[in-house]
Amino acid sequence: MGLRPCHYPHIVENWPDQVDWFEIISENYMVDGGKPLHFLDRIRSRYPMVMHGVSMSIGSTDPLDMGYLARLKQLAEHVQPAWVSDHLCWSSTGKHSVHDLLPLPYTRETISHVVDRVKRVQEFLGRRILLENVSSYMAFKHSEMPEWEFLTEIAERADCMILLDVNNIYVSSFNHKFDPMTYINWVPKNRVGQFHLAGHSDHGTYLLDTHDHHVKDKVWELYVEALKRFGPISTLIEWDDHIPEFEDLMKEVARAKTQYQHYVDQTQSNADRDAGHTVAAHHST
Amino acid sequence: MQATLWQLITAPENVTDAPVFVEGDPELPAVERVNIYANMYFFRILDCLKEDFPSLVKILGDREFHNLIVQYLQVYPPTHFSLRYVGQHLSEFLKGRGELADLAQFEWAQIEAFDAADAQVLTHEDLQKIPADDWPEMKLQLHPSCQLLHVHYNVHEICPNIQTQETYLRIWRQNLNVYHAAISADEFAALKAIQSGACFADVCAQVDDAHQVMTWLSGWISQGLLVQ
Repeated sequence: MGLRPCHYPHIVENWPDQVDWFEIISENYMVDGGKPLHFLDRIRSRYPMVMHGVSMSIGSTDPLDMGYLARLKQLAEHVQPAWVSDHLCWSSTGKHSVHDLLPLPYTRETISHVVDRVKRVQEFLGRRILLENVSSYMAFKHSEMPEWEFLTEIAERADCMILLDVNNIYVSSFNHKFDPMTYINWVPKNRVGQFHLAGHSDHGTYLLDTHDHHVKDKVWELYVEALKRFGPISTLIEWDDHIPEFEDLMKEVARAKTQYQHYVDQTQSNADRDAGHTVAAHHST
Repeated sequence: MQATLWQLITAPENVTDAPVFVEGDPELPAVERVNIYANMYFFRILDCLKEDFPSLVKILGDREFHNLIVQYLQVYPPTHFSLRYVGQHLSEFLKGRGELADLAQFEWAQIEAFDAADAQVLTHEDLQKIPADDWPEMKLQLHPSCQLLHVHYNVHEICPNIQTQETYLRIWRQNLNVYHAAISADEFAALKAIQSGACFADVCAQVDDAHQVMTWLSGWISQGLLVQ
């Protein structure tokens, strides 16, 4: 689950064992001290963590913000996360921040631009990063390919991983009228390192990725399809607004865990079966 | 393309013409699609600033605070990667608007104190270990979270209302919580001297009654205002 300040007291009083790991918003801990770092350290000492950023602006036409990357690297050295992720988008231009995740035109030129930047970021951080597909409300006339081809080619050429946000696929599929299964089926199996699930709002003519609701049924259905294709991939429930009590959020996490566990068991039984075949084959020779 | 979208998304008025490169359809025309981003930009920042400046919102009311932020963002659009800094120029922007500027300065000081660097606080025992002969040359150090404000309104007492009053405040963090206290002009001068690196003898020279400094010193230590 995502580590949010409103849950700090519950976590440090109860140290809940149902939580396997926490995801932090990197920027919230790029501070000098006080409460954020205090709770980060206490909670990190008991749980694995991953870092999820919102400000890398990997698709911006501005130069890479080396000050930001230095701070990110410093935090990663402190937290020692299992992995570091950000978004395939732009969030700043002309030295101004939009504080939002804006889509890119899906062109060959953009791919080259982003691939070069991802490689430089990975070299600087000394680790592979994961890039997340964003929810979008806007597309560009000069795009040359669908989003899933764009994302895949960047991941392959930059040799980075993908954080596949299942809710974002669903939201964008509604807003841009494509079949979400085409997306799921296109993304290469070996590139996906994490799933995100979240709630969205229905505005009639478009869906808005608000992270303030339960995960919708259609997204749960798509999650099952993603598990079928990619196997049991670490999954996070994102909830950033109108955040429920810890125990209520755990119910949502438990629902994802049940689905996830089904595919862990299935993967295990497939592995056992394959191992059995191997043994059987060995005896027969 | 990004510069064009930036202009549209951050403009104070609604987007009326979408750029030619944005795709639209009859159900959701291009202009409405760009407007979704424009609204998200403004309201995300507005919500953040409402949290950072709750007293300013209370004084102005929601509508006037909203209008203030529309104007503020035209002059000070966000430049930092973190939303945490989006309100850093609000007090400067309100300069000339009396108590509003002072109140914004006070609320911003609390944000600065909240996540300033940690430091090992000075204890009474630490102080006792310092030989008496070394006291005049001793240099005390304020906790990195400590902010000293001299304002012209009693911004720390917004109920029932803010009035013109020379006010000296110290804002600091102790045990993760942010506190503030109204102090005398003399205590303010003493703390300012410490902040500028003055030795203890010079700190005492700032005030009429040097013995008073010893009383303050005890309080500063108990409240975690000084560091080793």
